[in-house]
Amino acid sequence: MEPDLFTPFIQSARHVFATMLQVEVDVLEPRPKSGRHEPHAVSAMIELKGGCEGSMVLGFEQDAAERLVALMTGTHTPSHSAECADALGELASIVACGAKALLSEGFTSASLPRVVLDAEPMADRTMPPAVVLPCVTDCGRFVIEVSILGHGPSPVSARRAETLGDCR
Amino acid sequence: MKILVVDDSKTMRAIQKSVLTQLGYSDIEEASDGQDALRKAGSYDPDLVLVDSNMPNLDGLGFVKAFRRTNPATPVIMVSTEGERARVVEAIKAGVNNYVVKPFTPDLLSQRIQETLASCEAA
Repeated sequence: MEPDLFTPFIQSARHVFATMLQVEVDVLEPRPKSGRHEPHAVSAMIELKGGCEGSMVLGFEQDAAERLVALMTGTHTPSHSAECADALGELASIVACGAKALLSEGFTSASLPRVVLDAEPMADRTMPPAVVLPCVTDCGRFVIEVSILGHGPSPVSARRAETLGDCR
Repeated sequence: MKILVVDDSKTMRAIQKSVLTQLGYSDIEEASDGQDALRKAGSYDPDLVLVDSNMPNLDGLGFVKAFRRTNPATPVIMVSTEGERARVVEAIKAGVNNYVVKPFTPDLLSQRIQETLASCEAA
């Protein structure tokens, strides 16, 4: 997958985490997603539609989920709770829509978030071709999985630099 | 002042309610989607509405259009993940007074609320 297609998700995640949680996100080396199921304690998925189709999943380890949600809500929330699912779903929605704005020529709409708890296999989670972006924060680790299918001309908007500013 | 907060995310409603509380507002009603908001607005008669855009049942734009038919002057702030210019213009044409893009800091939301109330009072 071309870096231009997944870089907006990195930019958006950094911007969202810095603004809402005051957390810095370090993104490690991107890797293609293998065909095997990669479990997470909590996964939040957003589907993107428009001229292109795609999806984004934020997959969290348990401690990262609980610490990040505590920063959002100000209270401790178990990772297996509806409240945690709601908070992380909203976080995923904001990250995906931020990336969508940078890819605005390709996507016109984002779904409501779908959150899966406890590493259940989600058959229709991002399927290859997808890229996995491992992320590290002071609150723990998570991944961003991005899958974009059927794109024609590059969906990267010329307005990307204006929309988020420098998120690096 | 009575404030209606409309968002399908309980977390986001809590965050916005926290900002409003810090600004000194205590009479705050919540709704989880546009349909719920229209039902509650009828009896609650809010003085200010904060509304999300992307919600199930009736989205934010649909709520604003319906709300404006009977409440042409009540200040409405859209708090949305959608930051594209076309979306903002569409919301303003529907009757939104101000627009906040998620993610927002509490200070930014606080500022927009105060701006909106001041400009509506001056009008």
